[in-house]
Amino acid sequence: MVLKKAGLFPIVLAILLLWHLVTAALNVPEFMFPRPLSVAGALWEMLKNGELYRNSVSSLFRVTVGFYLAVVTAIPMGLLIGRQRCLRTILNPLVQFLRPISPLAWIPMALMWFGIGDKPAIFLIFLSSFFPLVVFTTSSVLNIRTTYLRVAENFGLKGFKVYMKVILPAALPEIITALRITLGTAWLVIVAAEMIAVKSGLGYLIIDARNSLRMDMVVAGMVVIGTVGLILDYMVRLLERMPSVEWSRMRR
Amino acid sequence: MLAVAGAIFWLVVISLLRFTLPGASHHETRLKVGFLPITCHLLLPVAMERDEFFRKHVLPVKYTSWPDMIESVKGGELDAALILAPIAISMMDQGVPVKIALLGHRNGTGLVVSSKRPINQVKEFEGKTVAIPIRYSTQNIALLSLLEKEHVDMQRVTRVELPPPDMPSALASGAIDAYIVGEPYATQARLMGVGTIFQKISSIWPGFISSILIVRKDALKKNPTQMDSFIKGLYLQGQWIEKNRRLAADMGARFFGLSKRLIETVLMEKEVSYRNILPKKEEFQAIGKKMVRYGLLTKVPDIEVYLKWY
Repeated sequence: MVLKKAGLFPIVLAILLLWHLVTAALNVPEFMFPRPLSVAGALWEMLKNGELYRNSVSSLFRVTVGFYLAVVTAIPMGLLIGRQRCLRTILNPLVQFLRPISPLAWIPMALMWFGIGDKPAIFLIFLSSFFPLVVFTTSSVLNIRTTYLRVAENFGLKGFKVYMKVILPAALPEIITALRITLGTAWLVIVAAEMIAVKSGLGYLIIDARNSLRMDMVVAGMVVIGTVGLILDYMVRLLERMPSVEWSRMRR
Repeated sequence: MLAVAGAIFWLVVISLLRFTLPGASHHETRLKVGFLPITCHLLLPVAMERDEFFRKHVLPVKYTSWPDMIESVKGGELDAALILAPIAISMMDQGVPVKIALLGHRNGTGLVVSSKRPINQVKEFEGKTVAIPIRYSTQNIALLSLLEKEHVDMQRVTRVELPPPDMPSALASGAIDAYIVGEPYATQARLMGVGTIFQKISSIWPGFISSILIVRKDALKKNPTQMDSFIKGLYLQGQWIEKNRRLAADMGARFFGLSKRLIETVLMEKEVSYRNILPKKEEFQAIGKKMVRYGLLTKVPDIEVYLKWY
């Protein structure tokens, strides 16, 4: 409780202090692991010359487009697969087969098909989110209580209406959790995706810093990626507090 | 509903921000040329700085690893690239439509060993781990030739592929015992105090070729005069670098984002040479033959075809 009241600030400060003391005491050379002060200096430098803004915007843009594309295709597909037994028989093996393949394995193809720039990165993000979302959505539909479906039937709901009025709302809480997990993965993948031929983005920032032998810049890039990741996670968490989602927690 | 509206709002905002960034891409008519930050590719930054034509018509695209560049050449994303000679030869073998235009530079590759755990003769490489840039490199071929000449059991030398910028720190940490690489990454270990040069490859392979300039046939067909000025422009910079090494080092360091001291050290030692960079059939055939010998190729493609221009 005391810790919670004091807030994040002292903890961050303590970690920074520890980091400084350990690197100083062990006399770790800067090129192996930089000190917090030089990382702060690198951050300031990136903030001033606009690199921080430019690269964060590029990364966020790619994640947004790739992730949205996955959401608008994977969720309807998952709902359908969850409902239609014959679709499930046909598509499930394919989805299950493609899902465990890391999107990074697609890098060679992405580069040849989409060249360099935004497109291959967006493609990789899409892949990283699409298959898990289909699987999660399918299973959340399969988990819907049969009572709901029977009631819907008794009220004479049919076709499209069943999806909109019963299935989607019932599956929504699990889908939101899935969104949170896949967005996290997407953010993990963007950095790796941007280490291939692009000229912007936070992944590029790290690779470029590494090639210029600037370890302080590399760690500064990591700090930015972590911070943005935290913010993204917080935003999706807000979705979990929506009334149309929160009912599932009350049920328990 | 609110969540959906919020999500759409975010998409609009981030797209607007993205497309107002300077350098957001529009239709590209410039020649796209791939390069890596190594002295073997110094012709390009010098040309970008000194030649009006290059500033108007050439778009350099920086890569950090060879495989990424290979895929961009294969996919047609790049019109030209500075790329390792064995990669180019194996592309020809695979039917990728490319032609050989120029060499990047000559010499400028070193075999580096750790200063803490020194290796004094070739025989001692047995049981050691040596980093190479990629197996399709003249560096790998040079290493294998050296081991073979001194009758070292090649099976007992572990070769690992590492991106050149990682090699000095891998050597410092003891992950590898030695590495063979193009400049400036050999000199870098020396300046960092973690490695010493065991052998300059120019002493066993005079006029050593690392990277070459290749151009895609379709780009050549589309605009032959542009390509012609491009190649000639690069060639002429070689002559200028020879007379203005310090200035060239400065341009390269800025363009590559590497330390000026490092590039200057490499260039002022005058081992690397930007003279005599027209490709010769015999040299490529010799590289091809060695590739076959070390299992990197099944047969040497007819080099003549790739050197003929129109």
